[in-house]
Amino acid sequence: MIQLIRRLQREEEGYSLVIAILLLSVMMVLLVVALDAGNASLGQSSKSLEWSKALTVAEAGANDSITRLGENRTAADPCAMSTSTVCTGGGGEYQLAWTQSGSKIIVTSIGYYPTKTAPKFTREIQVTYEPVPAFRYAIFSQTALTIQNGARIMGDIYSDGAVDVGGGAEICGSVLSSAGGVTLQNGSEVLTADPAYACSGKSGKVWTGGPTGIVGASNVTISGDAIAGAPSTTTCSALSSNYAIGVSGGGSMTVNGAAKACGSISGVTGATSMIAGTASSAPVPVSFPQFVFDPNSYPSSGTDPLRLQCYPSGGTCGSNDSSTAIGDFNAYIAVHKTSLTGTFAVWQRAAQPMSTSQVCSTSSVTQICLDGVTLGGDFTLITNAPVDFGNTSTISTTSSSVSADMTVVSTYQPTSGTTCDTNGGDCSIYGQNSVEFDGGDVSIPDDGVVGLLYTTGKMAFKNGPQNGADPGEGALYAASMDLKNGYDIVYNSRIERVLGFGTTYERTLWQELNL
Amino acid sequence: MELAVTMMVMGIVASAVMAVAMRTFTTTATITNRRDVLADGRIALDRLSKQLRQGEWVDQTGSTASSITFSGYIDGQPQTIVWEVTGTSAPYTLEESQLGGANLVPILSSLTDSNVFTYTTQGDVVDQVNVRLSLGTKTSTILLSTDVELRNADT
Repeated sequence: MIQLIRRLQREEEGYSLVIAILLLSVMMVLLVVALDAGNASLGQSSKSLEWSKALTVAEAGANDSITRLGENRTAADPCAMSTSTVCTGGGGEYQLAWTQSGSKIIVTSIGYYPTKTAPKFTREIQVTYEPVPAFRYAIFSQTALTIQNGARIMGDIYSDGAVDVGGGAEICGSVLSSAGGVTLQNGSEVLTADPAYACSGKSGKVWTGGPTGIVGASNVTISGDAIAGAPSTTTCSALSSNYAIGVSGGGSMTVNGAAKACGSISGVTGATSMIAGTASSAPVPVSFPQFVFDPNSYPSSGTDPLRLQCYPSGGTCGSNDSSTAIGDFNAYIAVHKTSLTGTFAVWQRAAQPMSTSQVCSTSSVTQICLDGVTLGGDFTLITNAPVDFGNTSTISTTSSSVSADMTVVSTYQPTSGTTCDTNGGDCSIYGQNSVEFDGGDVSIPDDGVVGLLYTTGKMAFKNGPQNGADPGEGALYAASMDLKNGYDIVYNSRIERVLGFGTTYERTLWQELNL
Repeated sequence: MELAVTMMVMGIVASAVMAVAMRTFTTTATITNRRDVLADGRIALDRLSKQLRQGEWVDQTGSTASSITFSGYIDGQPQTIVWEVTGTSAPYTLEESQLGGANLVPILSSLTDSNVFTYTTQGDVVDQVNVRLSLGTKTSTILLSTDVELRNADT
């Protein structure tokens, strides 16, 4: 028995080891499971972080490209997509491509994280850059401005000088005169909206900064505020006729917003409040957009229909001029006027005043003649010569499915002492009868023709479109302008960004593309 | 003696292992649920962020704390996109439409709070949206939150 017990005792030896190993195995399995669960969670977080990093890398590429293009518009792409070369930045590697279309620069950037050769994540973005908006007013004049009787202006109006709004004229927007007054003739209106022309959300405000203040008349309506402001040094008085709001010829005008004047207020009905003799600031003067021509800013690819075409074609565009530039370009127009498109710079040597005694024709040698043109796409004309729209009628596109932005920039400066009025004269931009941009459906901003006419000189247009025709869409900017009766215009923001007006570009569209 | 001690220890260990195993089974289910909910939340948040980042404007009249309507881009094409929380009580469902509100598709179905969107405006324009997803798991609530700047907002 004793021997049996001893034998059993001997056979117990080693059990502890087995149990310890068993215990250790169980613990290790549990540990592995716990670690794996932790790793899986960590892996998910890491992937999410790396996915975000890939976007940062792509954005770094886009930023890099616009920096390079800002320094030099003809900069070379250091890491083009079609090559194996990559740029480093943003914690990864990226490749770039950029193209120019009209005034737009479109940058495409692919971000690789961590590297292109062994990417964990790849993301692609496309960013569109455009010039900063320079044209926000339907009509902008540096001197006194007359809005003729019955005119319809859908957009804001700005003038450094006085603004005279003719009888029955309708303005859907605001009227600002930084240093002059605003005179509103009988029955004229400044409205916040006009559904007939898809105009809405406007301020309907009249704001002046000159001593004349705001002078209304019977049946005048100002839907927004009427503010007769004054320079900060002015002593305001509720009895003063300077910087005042009043009505000419008796009667009253309606102001639906607040009426506020540095001087007196009289003849106003319907205002939500009336405060006379209180200092009110004048509108901040708005700088006339300055145009700087840089041929490198424009597309140059031979296949691009909007590439810059220069007259004369030799030498550096903008540096060279020619005594036949106008004639040469008019000859081009004669051939292409039924489907005109492209970007043209015409530099005439010793540009002369336009001859309005002769009928504007494509054989003109003193003025560029845009009489009777039809647009096949966007059209930009930059010139130091006078531009004559002649007796043209509607400027439309070759088809209703084609829309076009028409930009005409004339830096021609009329000789001092000469006149430019609705009958012509020494004008920088002139149109005789019935000039109209066919804006298509006024409720659809993206269709039809939108025109921007800009000159640092003088602009005049005689009669507007035929009766019943929709107003032309676009904007008119001139150092001084004279528009005859019924010249209507609907502001369209398609023309707010134009190459050459400021060097700054801003991002207008940011898209992530799926790879 | 060693056998007796071993059997006793093994009994204790076996009991402990069984307890741990039972607990592990429960915890595994919890972890799995948590992981799935978190993954769904991440996918929804990434998807929504990507769309919002390309947003142009938020329809402020049609957008609330539980619904957002905005114009953006899908694969480079302009679209009106709607994200909307549906349901009358938790768990709410977050649904997406790339067709201006038509054909809403469920993306996430474990929301405990229907207030998802907070808007930041500059002037009158929404230029930033905070997205806050409160996700209910079997045992707890997880909060996923992100601020998205609308890159195409016209501010």
